[in-house]
Amino acid sequence: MQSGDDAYKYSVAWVDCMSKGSSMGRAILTRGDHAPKDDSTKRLEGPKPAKLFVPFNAPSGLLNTFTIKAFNELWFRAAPKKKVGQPQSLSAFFHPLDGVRDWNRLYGKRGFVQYQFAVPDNAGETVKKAIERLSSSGVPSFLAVLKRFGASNDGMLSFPMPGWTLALDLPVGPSALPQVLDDLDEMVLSAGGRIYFAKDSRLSHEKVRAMYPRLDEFLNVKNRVDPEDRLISDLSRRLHIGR
Amino acid sequence: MENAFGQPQNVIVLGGSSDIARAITKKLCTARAHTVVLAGRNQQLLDESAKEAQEYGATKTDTLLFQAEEVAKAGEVVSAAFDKVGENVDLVIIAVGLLGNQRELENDPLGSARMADVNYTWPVAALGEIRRRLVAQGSGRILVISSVASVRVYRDAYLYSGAKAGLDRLCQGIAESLKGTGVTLQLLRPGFVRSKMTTGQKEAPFTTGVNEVAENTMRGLASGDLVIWSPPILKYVAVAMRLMPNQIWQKLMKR
Repeated sequence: MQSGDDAYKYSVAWVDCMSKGSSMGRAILTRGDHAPKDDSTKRLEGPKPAKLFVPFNAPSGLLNTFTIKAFNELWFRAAPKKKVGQPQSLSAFFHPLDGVRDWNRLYGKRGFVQYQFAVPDNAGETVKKAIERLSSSGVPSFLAVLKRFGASNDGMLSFPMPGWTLALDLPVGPSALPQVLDDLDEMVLSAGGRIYFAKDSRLSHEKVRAMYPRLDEFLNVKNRVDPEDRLISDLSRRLHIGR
Repeated sequence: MENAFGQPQNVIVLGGSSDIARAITKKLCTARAHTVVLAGRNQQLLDESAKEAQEYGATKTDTLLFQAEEVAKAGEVVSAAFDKVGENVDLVIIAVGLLGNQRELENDPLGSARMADVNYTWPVAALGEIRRRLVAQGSGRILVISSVASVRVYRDAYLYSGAKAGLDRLCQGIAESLKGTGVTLQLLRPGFVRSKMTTGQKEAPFTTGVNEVAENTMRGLASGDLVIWSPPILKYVAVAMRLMPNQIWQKLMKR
């Protein structure tokens, strides 16, 4: 993925977090570029509504270590060894999960948490260590997606940094899950990385400052334009961003 | 604000020096709780609990004295606790209870009334104010410590068991009434627990220590289930408790 940075605009790898031994970290790599205007002879196509759907909440525990391992095995085998030049709609490339409507119901009543972090280029080992930590704690991830990031934008709380980002969907259930994610936070922090607010639902507020060095700059602006703290959210309350 | 695992940052514990409450508070502070307000009847025990909370991670603690026999003041106590937190309250735990000495109290009108007040009426009154405050916030959780004894009343502890049964069912009604408000209520039903309250008593089957209760509570907060059983197997034991013929039930529970 790293060597192809200049060749492709977008690259994403579906990673199997459940495999161990020599198969550890096996993945399906997809890379893409916007199709040039004169290339396709087809008309502009909008995204098609998904034909598959989940009709009701699955029983809790449907997505567990055993079933996820089985699914990953099938998914990995279903992918072609090499395929180039395939046109895909934006949604098919960026949001493949939406191919199954109401996919979140597979997680049942207990639901799932998402976890995504970014680490700099020199800290690629962190991704490997994170997957190993999850695997050894028996905490399965139904979805693990690895992507390359370029520079952050001017936003004071911009998430990306040049390097890697790993996104995980984790069924709630294993009692080790909260502690394992706290441990991953420490790993990410020591690698100079950070957690993605848009996916976060359990980060400890004490870690935010170290992960987002421009936090004080942001707070200065916020406190100046919103002295009565009207602009708040559950996230800002939980992470103490504001006031 | 609580996180996705139901771990709160701000907690009020009514009955904060009870052994079960202390064990739960420690686990909460290890997780995400940084502000803890403890209310109870013994200042020294409350101070010890507060110090313990700080050792486990709380950065702000405060205490409040009250008597659960004073039903008329329940609202004031809750209000004062909320004010001491100073911002949105994420979790209120009701850990008020009195096992009492059944034989001594059963023929005593005042003693019997006291059992009902401490185990039932005070919590019900407090819940009125807790409910009002949390619904106004639009978020928050209530954890009421009920008991496996609430499942079916038995002769040798009917003052306690009966009051807990009443509180338990009433709270189920509160939980229903809270749907759509952003506030939830959960019931913790521990079995026999080795603690100050049960010193000297004969242990029952499925007895646990307070730490196990606390662990089951954390798991229950994450799952969001209305009833949290500790230990979990009691859920199935309860079915048997309800179905067995009365003679067998009373004989089984003879102490």
